[in-house]
Amino acid sequence: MPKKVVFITGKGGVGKTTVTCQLAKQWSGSARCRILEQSLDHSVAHTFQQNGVFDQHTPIHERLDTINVSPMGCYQSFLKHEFQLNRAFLSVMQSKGMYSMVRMLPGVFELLLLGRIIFESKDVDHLIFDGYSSGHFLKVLSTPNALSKIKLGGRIQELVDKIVIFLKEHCEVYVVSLLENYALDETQELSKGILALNLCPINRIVLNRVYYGTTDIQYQCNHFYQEQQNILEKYVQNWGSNIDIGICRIATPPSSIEVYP
Amino acid sequence: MSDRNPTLVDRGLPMSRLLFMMGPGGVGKTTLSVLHGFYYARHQKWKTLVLSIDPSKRLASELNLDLTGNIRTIETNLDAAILDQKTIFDQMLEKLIPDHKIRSRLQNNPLYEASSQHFGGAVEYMALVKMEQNLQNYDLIIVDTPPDLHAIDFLSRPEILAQFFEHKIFSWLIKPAYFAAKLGIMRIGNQAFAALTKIVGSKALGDLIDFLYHMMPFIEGFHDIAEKMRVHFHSPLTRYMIIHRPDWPSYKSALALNQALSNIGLKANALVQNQAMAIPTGKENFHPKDLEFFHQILETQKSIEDHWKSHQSTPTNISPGAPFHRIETWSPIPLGNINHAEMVLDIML
Repeated sequence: MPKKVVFITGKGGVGKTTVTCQLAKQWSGSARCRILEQSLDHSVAHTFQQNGVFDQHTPIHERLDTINVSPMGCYQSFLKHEFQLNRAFLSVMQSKGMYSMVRMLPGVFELLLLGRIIFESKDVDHLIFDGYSSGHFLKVLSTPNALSKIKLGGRIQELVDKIVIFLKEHCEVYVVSLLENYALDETQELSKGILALNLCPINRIVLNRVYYGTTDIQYQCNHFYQEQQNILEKYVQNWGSNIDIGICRIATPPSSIEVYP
Repeated sequence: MSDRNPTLVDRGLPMSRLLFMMGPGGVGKTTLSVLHGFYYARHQKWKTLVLSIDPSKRLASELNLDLTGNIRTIETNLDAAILDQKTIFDQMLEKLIPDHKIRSRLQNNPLYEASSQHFGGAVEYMALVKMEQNLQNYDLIIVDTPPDLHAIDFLSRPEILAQFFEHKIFSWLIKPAYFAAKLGIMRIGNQAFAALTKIVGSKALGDLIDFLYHMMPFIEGFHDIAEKMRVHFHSPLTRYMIIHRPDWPSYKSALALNQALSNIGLKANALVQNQAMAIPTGKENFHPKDLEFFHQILETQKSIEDHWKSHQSTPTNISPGAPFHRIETWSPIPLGNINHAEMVLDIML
């Protein structure tokens, strides 16, 4: 499998972290993988029953680790790797006051996060970003285009250019959804927004918590299954044949991702 | 506004009550916000505003709201609005920078457009502004917050602005740089300035300095509003409801939110388990696999409840007395009408 950098997104609460971890488990069977998250509650590390630590790689097994990046960590990483400032400059830039000003500037944090994702993907075969929910994710992804309108110079502009190229050449988005109308409607909206940016394609929609399916109609729960089938058939037509559909059924622990049909 | 009923505020209460609906994504915050809005408007006759700062704009589609953020009346005593960053930004600009020439120069600065949409944490500032604008107009403001810990972002935003002021960036960097630029001197013996030039380039830096200098009254305005709201967040009349779904990851997020609230000196007033399952009566004809599935769900619901209750009674508990409420919204067989708000009635009264 060629190198993948996958951004996972979807409506709040659909199971992005669950799906991220499933994918990572699958792919790390034969390749070096990393999961990156930016969250206050270490949800990825906890899914693997590990303690989360900010800005440090937590090993899960020999071909899989995870990292939870903090905003300050992304800023530090940018300062350290993007250019070799002399120590005096570095200490000024690292001061709390400077940091609080930088954080207030438009799009800076989003940009630093994207830069960090690029950096963290370098020494692995696949990187999966357990991303934000729809609105917030779209905002992050639209930052490079938004910043390009401001005539920036210096290292930030170089970073913006680098990010745009990386997004176009290496990244793809998977959208996670539930098999319910309101979730799929939001998925449609989100997908339109992402495609309009003209940066990364959406290559997969993963349907989570799909009912395992009692097909025998004498039992009363068959209607759950049937409802979901109807919804699926309705939306599948809109997605086109170049989007894979993955199905993740309700089960404890979470089942692996099947390919539909 | 002369034809509106006098609010409790007019009758001597110090302020509106605030009710924050918090929780991980997909638990029903928006739905519950709306249902509580209807409840308080119809049954308590409180003049209520439901405000959504959820970027997914679900409230907007649910209630057919004005996407530019204007308040719309849903029915008697009930108004709703979503947050539109750009509109609020523009409104604040007009109020805080009355000089038309400066304002128009700002609006022409390429950073302005980027700021109004991407300003670091702008949504949170906008939310604060919107709330503050409406404190005198309503008895109750219900706030549908962004999912998860982003809600904490916005509650702690006053602190971040305060830091900016504390470090007096304005006086030692922005002001001198602005005047240096005006005098045609772009190099000043200031290390921070030199470092920033390397990072963003000198033209962008010039634009940035100009922008920040003229935005100072704007930033100060935010700061004042943020401080005012911070007081309200800590008021005993403000309520925080944490909502989760009956599964462990959702509950763990709720616990993390509870902890995060506590870290900023606030506490949850209730934990709500939404989208819970009603217990089947046993007379239905279920497939054995379905029965097992339902059994697991009921087990999970109960063990989460037990965990919260024991969590409450430990010596280190952080939300003493926050009750647990379960809202059963589905059943393998049809349920009748559910009054969600009644299920969590004691939250406000």
